[in-house]
Amino acid sequence: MLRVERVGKSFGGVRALQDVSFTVPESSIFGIMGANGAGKTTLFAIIAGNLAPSSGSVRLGDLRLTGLPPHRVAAAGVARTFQIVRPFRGLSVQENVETALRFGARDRPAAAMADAAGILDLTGLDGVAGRPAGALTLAQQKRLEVARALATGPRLLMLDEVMAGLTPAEVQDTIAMVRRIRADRGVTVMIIEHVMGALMALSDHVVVLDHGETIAAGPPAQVADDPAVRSAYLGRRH
Amino acid sequence: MRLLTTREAVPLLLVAAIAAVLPLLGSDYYLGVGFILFGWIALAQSWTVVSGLAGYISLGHVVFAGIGGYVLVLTWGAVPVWAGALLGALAAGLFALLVGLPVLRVRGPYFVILTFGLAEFAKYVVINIENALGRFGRLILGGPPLETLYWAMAALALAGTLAVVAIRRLRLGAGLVAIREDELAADTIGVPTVRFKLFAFALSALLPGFVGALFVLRTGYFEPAQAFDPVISFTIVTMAIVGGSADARGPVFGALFLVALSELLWSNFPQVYMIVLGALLVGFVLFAPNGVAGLFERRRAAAAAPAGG
Repeated sequence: MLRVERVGKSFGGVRALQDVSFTVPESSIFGIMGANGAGKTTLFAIIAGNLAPSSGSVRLGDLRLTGLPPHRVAAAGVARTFQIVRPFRGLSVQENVETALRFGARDRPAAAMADAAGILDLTGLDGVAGRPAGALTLAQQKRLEVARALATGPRLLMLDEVMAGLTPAEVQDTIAMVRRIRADRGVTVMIIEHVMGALMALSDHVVVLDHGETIAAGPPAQVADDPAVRSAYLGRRH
Repeated sequence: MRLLTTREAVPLLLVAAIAAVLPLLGSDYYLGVGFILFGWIALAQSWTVVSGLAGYISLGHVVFAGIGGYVLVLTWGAVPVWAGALLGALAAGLFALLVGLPVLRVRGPYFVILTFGLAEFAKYVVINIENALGRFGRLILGGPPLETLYWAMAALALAGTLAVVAIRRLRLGAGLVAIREDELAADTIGVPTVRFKLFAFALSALLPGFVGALFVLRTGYFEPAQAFDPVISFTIVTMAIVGGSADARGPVFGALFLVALSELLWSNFPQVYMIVLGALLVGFVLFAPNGVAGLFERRRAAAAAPAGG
């Protein structure tokens, strides 16, 4: 459903992304791996319209997303979370979700407006719905990022390190949550994660970025055995 | 959903009640005070749309009142009085639309300084135009009587209060609040930030244009340095700090408080007025950053806390 075609991005002389191409199949969970600075978050920002690519293009179905402002990309059904959380701090958790419900994807069923409770339940935030977002723990704020993105009614949900800094038990909960999001809502999920085991367990497909370039792509098991990936992660001698 | 929540009903009823009661006191003094009070309420509510909801703090809102007043005197005699006032409001809105796109590109302290500078710039442009024309102040004679102006201003105050109540319910209001909280996140969830900001800015200029025209009708005199006096902008911000600016209550509380204070102190102890005002400002910023309305909110939250956990 999403086609990334030869996307490149330079910041001054630094090449953050170079010639990155891949296709995300409908209803898949699509993992993006890579060390710090590999360009993963830059890629999300380009798809969401927060950044313009230096070259290449991104398409969602027949729609060219490249060049659209973020709110138009959201209207087309693409949502992202922020690795460094950006909740509407002064608003309650419920209000955060309700705000996103009023915006986001253009065509969705009218019933979606009454969906706040379902989303809070799915993301495990139903117990703190009335609390100001700024008063949540980091783990809760990460889940609020997911809840708010989900409330925009996306066809494609991009999760940027929603498991970083969580305890192993919380990671297990989050894996279950991502699976439920796909199962219940039929949402295609792209996920950036440092927690390698979680990513491998979740993803149907994985691409690996290294210094802004794609070095491997395929099913998780195949990618894990790829010599280029092993050397990027573990060094040349392995 | 209830027809009106408490926080919506209180300011609306308060404005309507004051408007109904003051004329019963049967003195021009009270009509004059009411006229000023409603003028401030209309100004502060307008300011709240762009600065309270969207978080773009304008320190130059007087420019819209100044433009309204100027258009009124320019059209004086050429068109009926109320048409002149309406033209003033439209001119202020148009001006906001024109300058809004570049001005609203900057946030935070830069926006504050830019709006202040823009208002001063407009003031000197008008001063120089008037000087070049050889006009040093314009008198207008035969404007509407005080009672008519009083009701017109009361209507503007009510309209401004109603506008803030309505906008907060609309998608526009939800989007503006999201912009205030985090503009990048707002854009990413689908808020058309540029369009919403510009619309809010233009909207927040309309009523002040009207108010400025009424001020000129009341004094019967237009003088640019007075019509574009930056102290008017400062006073609006002061009212928002004292009253709060998260919803329609704040501007009403703030305007009431400041007008009452100035009526009580200014006439009896003019020398301490500024001192008291300064102390109040510091006190509110330190201890009640969300104003009087915020204090109510905090008390309600404290009362609800033991039950809710």
